[in-house]
Parts: sequence; structure tokens; C-alpha cells
Amino acid sequence: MNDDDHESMLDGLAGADLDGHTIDELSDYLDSGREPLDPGIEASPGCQLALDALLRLRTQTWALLKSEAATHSEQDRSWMHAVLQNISLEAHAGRDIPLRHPDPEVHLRITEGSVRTLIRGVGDSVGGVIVGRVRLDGDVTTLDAPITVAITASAAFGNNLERLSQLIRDRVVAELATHTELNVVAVDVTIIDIHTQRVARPEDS
Amino acid sequence: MDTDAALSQQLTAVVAATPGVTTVYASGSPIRAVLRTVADAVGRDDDEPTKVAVGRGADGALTIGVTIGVTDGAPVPATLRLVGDAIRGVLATSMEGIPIHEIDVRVCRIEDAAPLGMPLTGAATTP
Repeated sequence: MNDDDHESMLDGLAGADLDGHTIDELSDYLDSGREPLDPGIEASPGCQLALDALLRLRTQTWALLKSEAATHSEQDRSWMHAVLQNISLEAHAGRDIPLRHPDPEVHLRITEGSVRTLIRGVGDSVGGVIVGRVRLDGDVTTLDAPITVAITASAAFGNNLERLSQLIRDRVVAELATHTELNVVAVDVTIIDIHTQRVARPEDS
Repeated sequence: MDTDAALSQQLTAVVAATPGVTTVYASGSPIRAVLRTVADAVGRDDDEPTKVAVGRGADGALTIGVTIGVTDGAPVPATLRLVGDAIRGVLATSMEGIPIHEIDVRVCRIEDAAPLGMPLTGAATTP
């Protein structure tokens, strides 16, 4: 895949609002090594979340995605586009998730966006998995309300999908138990696509 | 510098130094946050960061607001409670006798403890 292909992959994301920036601007910013410093991007938590997700995608799965898109169908390109779109959407702060504190004057909260990005990171860290979308279903703003985590993903061909899904589920449950006080009643993992494990050729990048 | 600005400066330093905190984001408008970042980038050392929001109600009661990034190397609830307690501690000594309406601590980013190819920078100097 050449630069033009990459640019076309990002078309249509221009309207995604990340404190006035777009996912393609953030991608370019990473390409430039974050130089020169962009104060607007560096001061924006949403941009930082999106940059985290983009960086993780590049280091672990980007070559795989590019390889797929370069050699396969429009469907692969659509999948890649959707991943980028979801990274942009998930980076928005969203709802506030409360935590307990014995002092009633002290209010502790985690943004939904930071938790979604955390879950995406957990999924992307499982070998052969590319997370497509992360959603928190339920009233996360109320302590102890039952919450279901819905994850869609693409898995590398040849994996036992049941085992892979269980691995994602176990890791997400453990991570959310460590970093939130959400009452997670279910983690639904849906594998909606299979990709090959061929490593990208130099000419693909 | 007025009392509230001095308090914000003090709280910003205390929050940034709390274990597990990676970033203290400027509270208030996005424009203010960008101006704050520009000031940091050009190295203005005559104006220490005042990123924690300090407000007062009609009765003089304090409202404190802080937005932070944290590492996933420690449980986020534990880090948040440390920050809440640290702010409480500062107010107990610096603002003794002044009522507290609310201390609001919000995590907006959970960073990987292992860097993703980019160096993590110190909390006290990041935007």
C-alpha cells in the first residue's frame, strides 16, 4: 500500500471531531514524530487517547491490516476504515464512570472514553486479534448498575475462535476489575472477520 | 498572584507528584488549555502551572476540579483515591477553616505502563 492508498483509507473521517482535529491529522502527527509540537493535540485528552490507539495499532497490527487491504477486497479496506472510525469515536470522553470514596465531598470519576480505549488495548494485545469496536452497554454513571461490554474483532486465520474469544473475555474482565468498579455482568466478544497472518511486504508499506 | 491561583499552583504540583499520575490536564476552556501548553512549550519559568480549577461558591466554599492521565501500572481507583486524599491534605493545611463544597477528580486517559514506542514524559512538565 502506498501513501495515496493510506490517505484514501482515511477519507471520510475528516468530520470526526477530536477537539477540532481529525484522525488523519493525528495519523500524520504520529508520522512526523510529533514534531513540531502541536499544543492543541497535546492538550487534548481525546487526541491523546486516539494517538494511543493508533500507535498500538501501528506497532502490533497495522502491517497486517495494510497487507490485507493491499491484496484483498474492498471489504478489507472497509474493515480498516471502520477500525479507524471507531478509534475516533471511542476517544470521545463520553459518560463519567464513578468510583467510591468514603468522603462524600470527594467525587472520583473515569471517563467512558478512557475505559473503552483501555479495553481496546487489552484486545489488541491478544495475538492475532484486531479490535473493531468497543461498547459499554448499561448505565455506567450509576454505581453497581449491570454493565455488558460488547467487543467486535477480527481474528487471524487458524485460531480456535472459541478459545480466542475466551482469552479476550478473561483479560477484559481482569483489567476492568483492576481499574474500575464497574459491575460487569457479561463481556460479549463477536468475531466478525478472519484475516490471514501474512506479514506485510516492504512494497506494501 | 491571588490566593486561588496560588492554591491551584500548589495543588497542580501535588497532584502531578502523586504516584500513578502521568499527566495533569489544564482545567477550563480548550483555549486556555492550549495557551497553557504553548506557555509550557516555550519554557516560561516565571509562571508555574495552575492546571487545577479552583472555584468558590457564594458562601466562600471551595470547589476543586482536576483532570488527569494515569498509568495502568497501578490500579486506577487506588491512584484516584491517592489524588483525592492529597488534595484533601493540602486544603486541610493551606485552607484551614474554609468549607469545601466538592473535590472532583476525573481520569480521562489510562496510559500503558510500557511505552508504545514513544517516551512517557514527566507529569509535572506535560501539557
